[in-house]
Amino acid sequence: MLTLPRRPYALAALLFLLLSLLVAPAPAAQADPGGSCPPTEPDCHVWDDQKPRPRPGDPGDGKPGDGGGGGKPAVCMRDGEPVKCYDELLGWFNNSDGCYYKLQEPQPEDVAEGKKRYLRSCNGQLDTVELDTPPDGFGAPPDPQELAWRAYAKITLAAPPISVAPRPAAGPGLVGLPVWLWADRDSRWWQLSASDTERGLTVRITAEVTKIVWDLGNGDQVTCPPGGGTAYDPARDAGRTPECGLPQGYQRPGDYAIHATTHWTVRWSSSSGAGGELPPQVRTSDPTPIRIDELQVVTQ
Amino acid sequence: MPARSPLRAAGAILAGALLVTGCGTPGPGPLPDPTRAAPVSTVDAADRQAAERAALDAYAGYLRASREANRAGDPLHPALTDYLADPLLTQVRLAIRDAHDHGARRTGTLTSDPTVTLVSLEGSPPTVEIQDCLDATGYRLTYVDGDRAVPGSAGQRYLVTATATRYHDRWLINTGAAHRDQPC
Repeated sequence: MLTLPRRPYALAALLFLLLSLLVAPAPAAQADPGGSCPPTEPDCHVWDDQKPRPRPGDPGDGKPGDGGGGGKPAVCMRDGEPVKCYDELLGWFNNSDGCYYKLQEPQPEDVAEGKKRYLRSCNGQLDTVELDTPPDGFGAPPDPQELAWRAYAKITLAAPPISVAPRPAAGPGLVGLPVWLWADRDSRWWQLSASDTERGLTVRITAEVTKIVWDLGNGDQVTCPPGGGTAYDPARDAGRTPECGLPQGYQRPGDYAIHATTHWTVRWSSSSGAGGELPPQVRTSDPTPIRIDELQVVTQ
Repeated sequence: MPARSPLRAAGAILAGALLVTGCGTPGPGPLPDPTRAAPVSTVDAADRQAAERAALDAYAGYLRASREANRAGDPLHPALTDYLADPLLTQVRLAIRDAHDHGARRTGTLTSDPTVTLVSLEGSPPTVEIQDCLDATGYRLTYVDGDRAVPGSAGQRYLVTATATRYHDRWLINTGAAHRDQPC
């Protein structure tokens, strides 16, 4: 049970203490958890508990190239996680202390002779530091291969839009009759390009399908060129040999699942003259079911 | 001599508490630190007035530039460097980028009534402290698709403190903070 002091001055002192706690303004630095916000962005901490949508090419955007997906090994790491080596707002990453550095903009009047003042960002905390020499990694030119990965992140190597005949919706096929396989030719989905530019360096990538390998679900595989295979037209193609497919058809009745796997080559070139290839990529389509029935011979 | 009652003693101490915490003074927020005040006698009054004017111009320019950059969702909006210096410049850019990366931006109007609380022309570099009661009730953080307000971002009136610093031949706002816990 709370007991109040009997002495008047003790009561007054207690009141003073309570009032001071109630009405004293908090220090500005403690106004918001995680540091104060700029005057015109007072709600800057509203997303502190949320991850932003990853920008294409950011480490951790779910695409190769960030050191975690079988792409290029990450050069810049903080606490075991890949980070960008250069951030357009924070500057260059220093692997030795896990902080970004940029020259303070503009340089103040009171910088000591021979020194430069840097804005340092360590895990979201900003401070300034005056240095004789630039920190590790500062001023490194953009890495064209990193830009190539960023450009690559802007495109989607889609699984091939495939079709087969006999069409599953039209009913089963028959043992021994040709099976036609083709991929959509109209959208030129097998040729893609993109570019990315940073600090004057532009890198362009071109992704092309070199071949499509069809898995027919019975252990057989058929390889066709990109865009290969013509669409089956019953009025024109009945009895003809498919450009891509199984000319002799399936030899046993049954239900089969057909997959198509595209093999991509991704080449890059840069305005500095450097160029190369990113690791080969493959994409596999969802299965397309096909039913093959026994060929019935009807005699009269 | 009248006896001192507990109520009267408490009242006297309450007045003391209000004085200590700054309530009852004309402006909201923390009082300027008197130890930082420059000696007036050694600085020309005209220089002080010119510094105050330049600082308030920079502050007003900062509010305009920030609104433009926020509306455009562009953290590298060129107007920002006309009025801002680091570290506040980078803080503002990061906040704009953060909103943009979450599919949101700030739009609307800010109403400002700034005053100069301290001029320090003999420091290196010279600085001017500014205090403002910023009315952001018409300034909203909303998602771009759907125009929904971002939860937790309600506009209000709050105390702002900022510092204008001289950079060779111009004054720029280089620090500033929104004190949302201090409505005004």
